[in-house]
Amino acid sequence: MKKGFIFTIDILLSLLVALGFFSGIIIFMSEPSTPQFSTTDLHQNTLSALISLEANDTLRDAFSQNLTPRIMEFLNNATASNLCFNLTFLNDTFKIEQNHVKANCSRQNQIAIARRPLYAGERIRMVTLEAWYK
Amino acid sequence: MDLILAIIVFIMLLVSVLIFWEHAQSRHDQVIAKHDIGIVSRLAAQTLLQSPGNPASWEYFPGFNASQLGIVDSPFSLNINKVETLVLWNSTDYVNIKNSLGLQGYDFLIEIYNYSTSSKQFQNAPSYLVGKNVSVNATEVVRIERTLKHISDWKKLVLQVWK
Repeated sequence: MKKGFIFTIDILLSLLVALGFFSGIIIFMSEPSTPQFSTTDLHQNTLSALISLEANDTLRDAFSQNLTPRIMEFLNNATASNLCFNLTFLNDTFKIEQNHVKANCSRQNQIAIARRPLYAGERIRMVTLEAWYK
Repeated sequence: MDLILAIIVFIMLLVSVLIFWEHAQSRHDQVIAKHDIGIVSRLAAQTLLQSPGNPASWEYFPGFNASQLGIVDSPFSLNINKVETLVLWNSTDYVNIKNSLGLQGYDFLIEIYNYSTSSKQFQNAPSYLVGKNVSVNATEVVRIERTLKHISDWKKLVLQVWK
């Protein structure tokens, strides 16, 4: 029988193992070394955005007036471009009254949430702001 | 022939391990450096934006006297008088400001941007600058951005810490 260049199954297996090892190292080295974003940062951004929305009593007044243009202006133009937000207004029985999502945002897994209870219309209401990276 | 192939395989494995070791060491050093600058930057941002500082009315004292610097009245609610005082002190007390923010060993730049209601976006040029411009030779830079409330208005703070 004519012998080939690789003539034993042992050699073939050892070559495969070596190639697998080499490829594994290349893949490991090409991955980013640290997480791109920080959860702490995301949470701080959420808190600062929710408090900023209180300027001009926007959050409280949104329960009695249509402030959607101002809220959307804030979410779309005044927040960091790499962040997405979902702002929800809950009534005194915690049912959703309004919901505003920043433009061009689709839901991701890593989410930070900030909540703000408010006294509006002689009732305690709740506003929640969810944030995630684009 | 088996021996030659075995030697080739052995050399491949050896080279792989050497490359991996070299890379792992440099990655470890990078991670430690990034971790450290990331932590101090976030702590500095927290110090600035979560409390008015200590003493709370440090901006009314004649010289730098604050053991802790904060530029807000309450969390994320900007006090522009405090920012203006920092701008005044920047040329003479940069090192003191840096140290009270816990940024020893690093340099920093704080920028405050006004929101323009006519163009419906933050202005391109900052209204207030505290610190030093980021050097072109900086090896590590961390950038932290926050939206803030200022009376009935919005402002944006950008803190850059660099080395």
